[in-house]
Amino acid sequence: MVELLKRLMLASGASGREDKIRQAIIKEVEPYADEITTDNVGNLIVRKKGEGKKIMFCAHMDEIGFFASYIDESGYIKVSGIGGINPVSCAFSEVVSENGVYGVIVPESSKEMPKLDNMYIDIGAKNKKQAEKSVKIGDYFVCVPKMRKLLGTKYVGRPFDDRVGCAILVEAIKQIKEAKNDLYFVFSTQEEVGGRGSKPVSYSIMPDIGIALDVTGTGDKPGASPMAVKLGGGCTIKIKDAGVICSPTLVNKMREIADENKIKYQNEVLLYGGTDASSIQVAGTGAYVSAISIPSAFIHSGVEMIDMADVKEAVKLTVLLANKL
Amino acid sequence: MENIKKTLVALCSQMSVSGYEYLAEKAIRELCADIFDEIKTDPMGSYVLIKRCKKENAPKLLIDGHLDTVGMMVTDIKKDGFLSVVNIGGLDTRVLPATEVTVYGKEEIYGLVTSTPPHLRKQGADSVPALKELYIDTGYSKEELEKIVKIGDPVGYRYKLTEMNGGYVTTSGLDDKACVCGIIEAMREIDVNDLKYDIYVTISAQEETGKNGSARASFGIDPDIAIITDVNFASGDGTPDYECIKCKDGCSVDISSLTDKDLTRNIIKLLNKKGIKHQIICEPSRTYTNNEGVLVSGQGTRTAVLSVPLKNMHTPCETVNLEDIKSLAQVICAIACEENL
Amino acid sequence: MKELLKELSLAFGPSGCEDEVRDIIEKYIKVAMPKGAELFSHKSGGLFLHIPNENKPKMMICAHMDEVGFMVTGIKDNGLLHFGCVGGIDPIVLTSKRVISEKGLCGSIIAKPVHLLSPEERDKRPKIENMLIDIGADSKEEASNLTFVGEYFTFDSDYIEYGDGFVKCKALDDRLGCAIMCKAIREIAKGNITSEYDLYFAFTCREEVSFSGAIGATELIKPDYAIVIESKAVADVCGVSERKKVCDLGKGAIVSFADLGTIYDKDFTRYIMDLCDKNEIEYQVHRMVSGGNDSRHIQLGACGCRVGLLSAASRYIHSPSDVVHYDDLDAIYKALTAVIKGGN
Repeated sequence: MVELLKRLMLASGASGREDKIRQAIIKEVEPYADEITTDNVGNLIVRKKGEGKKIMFCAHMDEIGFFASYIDESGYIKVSGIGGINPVSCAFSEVVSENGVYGVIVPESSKEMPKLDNMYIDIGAKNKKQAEKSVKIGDYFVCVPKMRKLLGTKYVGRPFDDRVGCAILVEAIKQIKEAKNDLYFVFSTQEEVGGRGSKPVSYSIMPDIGIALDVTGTGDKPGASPMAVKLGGGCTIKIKDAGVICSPTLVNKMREIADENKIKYQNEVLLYGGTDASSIQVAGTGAYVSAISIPSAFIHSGVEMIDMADVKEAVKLTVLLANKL
Repeated sequence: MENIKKTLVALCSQMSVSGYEYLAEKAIRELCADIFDEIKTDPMGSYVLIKRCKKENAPKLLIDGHLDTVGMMVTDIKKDGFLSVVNIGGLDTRVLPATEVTVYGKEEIYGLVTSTPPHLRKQGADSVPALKELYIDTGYSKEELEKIVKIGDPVGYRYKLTEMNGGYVTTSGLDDKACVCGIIEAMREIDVNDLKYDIYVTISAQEETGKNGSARASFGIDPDIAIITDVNFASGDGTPDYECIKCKDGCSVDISSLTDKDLTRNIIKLLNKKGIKHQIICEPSRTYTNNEGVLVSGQGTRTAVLSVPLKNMHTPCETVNLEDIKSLAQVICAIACEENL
Repeated sequence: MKELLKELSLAFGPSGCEDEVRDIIEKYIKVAMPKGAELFSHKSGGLFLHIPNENKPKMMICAHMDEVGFMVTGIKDNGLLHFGCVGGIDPIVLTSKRVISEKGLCGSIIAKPVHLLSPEERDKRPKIENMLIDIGADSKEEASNLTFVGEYFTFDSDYIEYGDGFVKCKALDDRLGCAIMCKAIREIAKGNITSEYDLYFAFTCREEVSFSGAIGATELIKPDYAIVIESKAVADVCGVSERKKVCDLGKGAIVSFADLGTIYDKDFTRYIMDLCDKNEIEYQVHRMVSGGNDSRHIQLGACGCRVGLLSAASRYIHSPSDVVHYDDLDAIYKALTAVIKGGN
């Protein structure tokens, strides 16, 4: 599982540029899928056909990144943000472009709170001309992916958001031998810019039940905003976030299944941020939705932190739900 | 009036914080079983109630009122049996200190929103406390409370319907149960033989959190015409007259760039012709009602908005006049019996 | 005592309008008068019971009958009512609360819809002078037929027991004191308690506005000792530091050494604490110099007297939702009767 996660982490892909990660996932799931399709906005849909309810699991492939918007005379690259960039947590990071050009993103002054407007990428070019040979306006950068084991079962790196969700789905696809329900595993695009990719795919599938897999915040780090979820406390069952109130009947059913099978889980009410569940809920005539989340500290930074123990619980719960809902 | 009051009491005694409308299913079915041909629920939590006119190829008329109310949700269980909460929908935090609530855990328990005496409050607090500074006092120990309440359980105001002078009644959740009541009473009164449409009443979910419930229900129904009913600000002290309608002047027809111009004008013409009391309010741009979602859902729908004046919106003392609910019922009856709108 | 506390708390009795409360107490006492006792009233509205015990020191037990409330100060053309507070009420607990008039007319304190508020209006503590009561009248004329300038209102609030031994109602401040005293009187009448003092029970008026009821009582009785039974505003809620919580609900009777109005007699207070220890009665010491009550007038009235305070920790005091814990009321009752019996 750790190796699988690492493979997916290393295949970079900011919102709208999910090609590499999509290929990486296809490679993983090909032997296990009944059908694999890609839709017009790049969503990857992996099916395991069954007779029962139409269940859509959804994890997003994309990550936050930078858009090269201007190259100045000296060869420094100004950027716009793609998704919820926090300038504080990405200042002084290594970045890599979609074409494999490395650089660093730095603020103009290290004395003030950095703003993205006052930051630039330095790829080591001596002037504009040289820079333009490697980077074109419109190229995407992401912070360099990495993953390292800490004490216990904790891991740090990026982008766990949401390659960890993708890895859980890939693992579930591998583990589910026979589908009792009609299963759609969706690896969605453009979540970081507002759950965009999952909208059309939910509409085309129109599932009975939708379950997103994503990261969520935690409240157990110093100065964290209050939240009852703890890193290492088990995966979570989502009840509410800023974008969705999950279907209470589904939430109750999920808790019941988790309790019966001794899955370690926490109840999640996330005050800020959302996930694909909100898009699935309002597709067509509407769907019953919730999410399974992996508690993650320092989300959207270069040092996102998760606990693999929580990931294992999430895999177990996903596999159980696929056949028991 | 007695029927209206009874129905309103039945609706208002049901907790239906956005997302938790399913808890009211039994009450809705009991209230509506005799009035409608069919009652369905949907994944968003809305109720679709169908009353057919028994004419072939009759057009479909959707009439919507939302069941959900603003409320709170438990985010943590603290020491000494206090709960921290987050708002659901546009909660008015000014009214919270010392307000009574019910926590819907494994069982319903009584709670009080905390309020700190002025001399013990943090310094410089000349402001209204924010929700994150307030807690719900349950009177239980943390250990006992954890057996009853889970993170994510909903919390609603706990106020029974009280009659005031002159036909006014007050309680929480009259937004939009006053209109739901009007719709149900219209459907009770109407003679099926006069109906010109198959009526699809949506008692919809999740209006307060994004107006999604009615839009999804409408997607499945695909109506020809949709009438959205909601409460609107009643004029009173400190509220600008031009943004408000008046209590006891009847339900209002809302004119907006988001409603169907011809449908709205035809309804006004019809009411004038039949001499049915009503008022008019202009909302040049948005209506901030379910009409915004229904308008564009699925193949799109012609929509009109009717509203009932409500005082003290989104507080535990929402106040409405029963006459205005009756007026809404009359207007709905008139519309449902009129072809070619 | 619970039944009586409920009846008393639901009774209408803002300062200066305590008649209903006084009638309930009078009726209750008259059912079983202690032997030789004399019931009389003060012209300012107080009600007193004297249980004589010749040649013993005079002890006065005191609680106030009144509660905070409102008074109509004007009627607007649109039928809404201006009002002032009777007693100290934090305006923050008023927005959108229900009120009821002397005649039982229901009303509510209006709130401009949150949607129409400017950010300043939304966050700023409201001012009483800008608040209005809606009684469902649409004109001044209609309102004038229903109420009048000078009519009293109080909070409209149910008596509710909740959680583990808590109770919530309006006016628990200080009907709990009245109820505890009534219970003590009943037990004395039954012969279950014998007083070591020349005993006076004083049910006073107008504590919430000027404390004048206690002044009159002290002048009249001239006690040697006095015990005041009160509610104490505490903040034992989540998010408040331990010190500022003042005291905790459910942890026993509060004894005080000082508040903002009174430095209590230290010997008498320690004596009460000793009695509590001896009789295993739960008590707690008031942790902050805050609040104040009738005691200041009693201590310094007439020739002066030794005054002690027994109070019940109360959350959200002076709101529609006063909260106290039954265990604390029991502890106060026990402490009070221990004092009355005398500690030899």
